[in-house]
Amino acid sequence: MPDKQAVRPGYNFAFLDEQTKKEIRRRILKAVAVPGYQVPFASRELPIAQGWGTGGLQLTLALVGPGDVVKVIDQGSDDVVNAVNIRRLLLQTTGVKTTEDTGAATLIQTRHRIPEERLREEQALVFQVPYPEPLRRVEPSEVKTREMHAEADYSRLWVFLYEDIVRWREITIGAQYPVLVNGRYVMDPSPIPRWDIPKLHMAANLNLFGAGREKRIYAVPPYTRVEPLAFEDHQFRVESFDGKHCAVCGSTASFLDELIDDHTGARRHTCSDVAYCAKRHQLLSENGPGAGRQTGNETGGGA
Amino acid sequence: MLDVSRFDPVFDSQRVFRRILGCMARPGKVDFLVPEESGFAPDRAVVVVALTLLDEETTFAALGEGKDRLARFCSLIAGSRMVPSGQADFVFVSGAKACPEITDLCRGSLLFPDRGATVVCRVAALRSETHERGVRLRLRGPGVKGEASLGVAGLARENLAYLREANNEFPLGVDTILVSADGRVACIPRSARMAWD
Ligand SMILES: [Zn+2]
Repeated sequence: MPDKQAVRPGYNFAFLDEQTKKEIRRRILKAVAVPGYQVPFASRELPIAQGWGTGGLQLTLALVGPGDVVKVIDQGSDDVVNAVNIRRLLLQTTGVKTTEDTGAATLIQTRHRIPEERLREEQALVFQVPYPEPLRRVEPSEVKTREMHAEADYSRLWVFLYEDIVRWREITIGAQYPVLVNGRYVMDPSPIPRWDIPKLHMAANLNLFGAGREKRIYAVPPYTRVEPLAFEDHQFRVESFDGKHCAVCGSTASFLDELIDDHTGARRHTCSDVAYCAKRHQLLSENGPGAGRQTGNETGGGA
Repeated sequence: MLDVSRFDPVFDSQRVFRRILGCMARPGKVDFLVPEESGFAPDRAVVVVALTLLDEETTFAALGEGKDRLARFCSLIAGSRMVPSGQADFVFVSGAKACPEITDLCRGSLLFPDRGATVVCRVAALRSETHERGVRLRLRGPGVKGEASLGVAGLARENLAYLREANNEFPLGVDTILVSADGRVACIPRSARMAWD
């Protein structure tokens, strides 16, 4: 049940007025019906700075209800300032229950990561998107990119990727790796690492994407094909952490951040998904070293 | 006039929207729009869908049985504007009788496929399994793991054929929200591939 004490008086439930929510909800349904297609919407001003996830936040505000348990992460952490601000706004305008536990959340808003823990059918993941247009790399005009999507004409993007291979012997795109959704639309998955891309393919959960500045909503429904663009002789590869493990929980099957000690200069790695790491760490300290055994690709990220 | 009492514009809208979304994202899934025990009128499900999705920014058309009552409701209560069915954002259809207008609804354009209509189709009953009085739909595509089965009573096979024709040029097409007299909902987005016995 929501926490009525936390709600600040004078706000609409979930901040937005009902007409605004209705409009966003109609757009979300169309986005789901045409997977990967960018639906225009009338983005609203919110009491957080542009570029801090107003697109994702508007989706979350149109979705959230008293029965939800919400988790907010930024780059895998629940505790950095962006995540804390968004969580506070959600709490103050809804009183909704919040959590850091991925498994306990019904609604997860994220910036730049997909949780390592595999999401379930009844969960929805909302992405904050800075640049929704995957063809912007090759075409500055919105009119032209819309035509290219209409005709499924992605030849210029393929040429761009091919030139990357000629020059660097591999596709150098790290985050924002373009994907083909349901065999029809090329989509920007937001600046998640390549590591997270395979998690979108045939996922059990609903994935929703919101871009505030560019006023776009798009979606990947559950059990939908999501294929990174790649060539026969240059397959898509996720980041490699060969021989490395998390210094906190020992994980060898999660996306790792590199930390450099200010004093000694020593390098170490920890899980980017902080809640996942904390859960594993606790499991290990309660049940001994065998408890955290990983069967290789449990997250779908190592494929 | 249809009954709009006991509908909270904030919390019931949110709950109804999430259930429609859950069904649109998982073609074949059947959910309750109206609490099972509430003893609702047969039109209750279509009323809550209209209250959740329609407003002054939307246009609608009503076709088939009960169309006048629905048209009055949508314009007076939801504030939506009535237009010819070929131009409407939302088209209310009675499923039981053949409705050939379905093939002439707005299907959007290649530039803006999201402008394709949403069909709200009233049927007698919806079940995840075969319904004894109805047709069994088999659905594939985004949102479906393998194949989904949906039992619908009170939906003419002609209307299924019209819907399939309206959706034969993806991404152009219409998205259908089926609402039943027993208060349930199921969806057939244009991305679904559909077959029936
Ligand atoms: Zn760790």
